[in-house]
Amino acid sequence: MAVNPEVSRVKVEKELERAASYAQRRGWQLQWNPNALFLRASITASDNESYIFEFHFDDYPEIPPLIDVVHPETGERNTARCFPTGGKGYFHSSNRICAYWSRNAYTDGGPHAGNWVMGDWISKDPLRKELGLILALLADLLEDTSYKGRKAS
Amino acid sequence: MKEKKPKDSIRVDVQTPVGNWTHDFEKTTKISEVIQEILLHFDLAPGNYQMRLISNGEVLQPDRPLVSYHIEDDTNLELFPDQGGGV
Repeated sequence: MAVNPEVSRVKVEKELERAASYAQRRGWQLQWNPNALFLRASITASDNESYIFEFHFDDYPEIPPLIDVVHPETGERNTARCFPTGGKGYFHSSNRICAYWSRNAYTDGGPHAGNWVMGDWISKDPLRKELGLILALLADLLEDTSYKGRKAS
Repeated sequence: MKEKKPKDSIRVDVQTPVGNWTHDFEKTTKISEVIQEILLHFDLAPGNYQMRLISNGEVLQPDRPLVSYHIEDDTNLELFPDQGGGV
């Protein structure tokens, strides 16, 4: 069932407010467009590379956000050049984020298309049930020892 | 003006991805108990969480009390959940 965009907007803005202080301390650049329910998050990795994650929050929180990974220089989306290495399985070989909180994991071509149910996302990974927790995980993965730069140059 | 801190307590400033919280804990409070209080405060789901000192990144062991780390008032701690993995 579709979620009223106003409901999604209020939910995201509440989560952004909760995350604001932490985001500032960690140096994330967050640009929120409430009319489009769109968030652009720029997170710097341990090697000073910037990674851009674009979140689309239509029908949120009933379904997880759609997260595109965008190259900061070329603007290309969801290619190997956009993605970091490492990631403990979250940065899937299909160039999608493979996680219950990532809508692209469920859709056609995604690693779990057909065998996951979007509506279950929070119950499946409650430790990532809101935006600040998702961003914190992405940032931690970019500082992890398994991170060795971009997947492709 | 800050509330007067109870005797034998430590005032910690906890930072999490869902907000900050300043709270007085008894010095003998175990790290695991501090974490549970934080989860309740922020309505976070139960699970595997850790806490670390922001100053040096040291991860605090859950069975040890706050006082064993010589934590002083207004020490900054960070709560973070287990990373899990892609599925």
